[in-house]
Amino acid sequence: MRDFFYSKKFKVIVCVLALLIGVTLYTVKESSSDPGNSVIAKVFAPVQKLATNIKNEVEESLSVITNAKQYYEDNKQLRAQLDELYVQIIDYEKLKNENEQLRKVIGLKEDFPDYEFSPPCQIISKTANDPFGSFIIDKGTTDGVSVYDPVITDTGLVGIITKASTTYSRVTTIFSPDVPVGAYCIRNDTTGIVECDAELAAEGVCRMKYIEKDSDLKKGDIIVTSGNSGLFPKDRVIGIVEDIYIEESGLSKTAVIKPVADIKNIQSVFVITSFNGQGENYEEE
Amino acid sequence: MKKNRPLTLKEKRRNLVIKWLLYLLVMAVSFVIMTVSGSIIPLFHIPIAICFAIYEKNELTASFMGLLCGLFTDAACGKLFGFNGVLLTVVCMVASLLFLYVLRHNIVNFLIVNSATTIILGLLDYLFFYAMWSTDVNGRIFVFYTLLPMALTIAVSPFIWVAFRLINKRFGPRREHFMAEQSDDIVRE
Repeated sequence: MRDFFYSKKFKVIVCVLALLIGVTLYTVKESSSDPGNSVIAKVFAPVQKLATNIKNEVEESLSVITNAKQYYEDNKQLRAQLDELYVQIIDYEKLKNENEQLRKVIGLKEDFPDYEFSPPCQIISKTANDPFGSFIIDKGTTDGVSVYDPVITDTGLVGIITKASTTYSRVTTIFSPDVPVGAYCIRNDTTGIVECDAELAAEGVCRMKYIEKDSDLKKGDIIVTSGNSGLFPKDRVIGIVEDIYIEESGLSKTAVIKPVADIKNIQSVFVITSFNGQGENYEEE
Repeated sequence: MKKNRPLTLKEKRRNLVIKWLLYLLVMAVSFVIMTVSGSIIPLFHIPIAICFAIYEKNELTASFMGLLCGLFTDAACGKLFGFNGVLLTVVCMVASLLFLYVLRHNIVNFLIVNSATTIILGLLDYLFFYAMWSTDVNGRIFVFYTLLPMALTIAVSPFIWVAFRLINKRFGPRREHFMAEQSDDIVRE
């Protein structure tokens, strides 16, 4: 065995190791790009896309059989909700008409005309064993996506781009403690920071911290982005307040927020590639 | 009788190509399963790397396959490029030397080496990606995202051992026994 350490084979292994450590250190330095992993991701992207589609189809088919009873119960419940919704739709239509008239009168522009979107992005793979549910989408820098662009669905905020390659990007979700979001309540302007940890992420909820003790935040309030950081556009819906409690210190309140976007089960997202105020108060480290 | 005849050079080459294609297929399928599932899943490439160290009786091949398996793990788990690559290269080199000179090729030794590797890699991953940054306040990540994948990896490793054993039995090099006559003075009747 001792001869091995004097052999050419050992020298080759040491050289390869040194090269790999060099590439690794380069990746650490250039944290926004990941040349090594991007090669593997590029090669496997078509296969992963196909496998994801097959998996989704199989899951849906199996779900019909295994959850038949659950579906029956859900169906009954949904029919009841539908009846309620018909009533609400009538009210909504009235409000919508009123709103449209007001818009015309005041001359407000359409909501968020400053947004520029990437093409719809499909989720090609999910990160194995990641407690915070990060995933990879099939659009990259060639589609205008860049690092720190916000990621949304038609319902609400999902996360942020943390790595962008030419043909794919990694999305870190709002379940990650690395993505705190400045937020406020749309009803009463109560402000706070929405963040998360592994325990909450497992339950599919976040928490809004640093809420003033005297604020009248209620269950069911809608929380939206404040846009102060320059990372997220203002007024994108994050979630709904599920619970509120006073911190142990007694100085502030914390609210449990249920994200409106079904982050764990989404299959496609949009990336906002440009919006007014992007990067204004944010300095890249 | 036909079964035991020595393989021709062409057959040996064909078997070698099929064997490596099957190896690559196992690695690729494992990678796709890991990236499609989106849940807690075994780190398939650790037992695969150890199997290479056992079945490819060459330290250099074992190290390179360890490197490749490590890079696949990095890509699937979204880790820093080269983190698992460096570790598995060293582990496979050591494992190859152990199986060449010290340990016997059996499933018990494979399970011991594989479990030790899984535990070391899992703990280092936890240390560098979560513990150092105080991300895991209540130990949830350690239990569900470090210990559970470790246990799953150890649990699936016998199946990977069996897969490699079958591939090698069918397409690996065969033992050929030669009987040489030592003397020309042997008198045959």
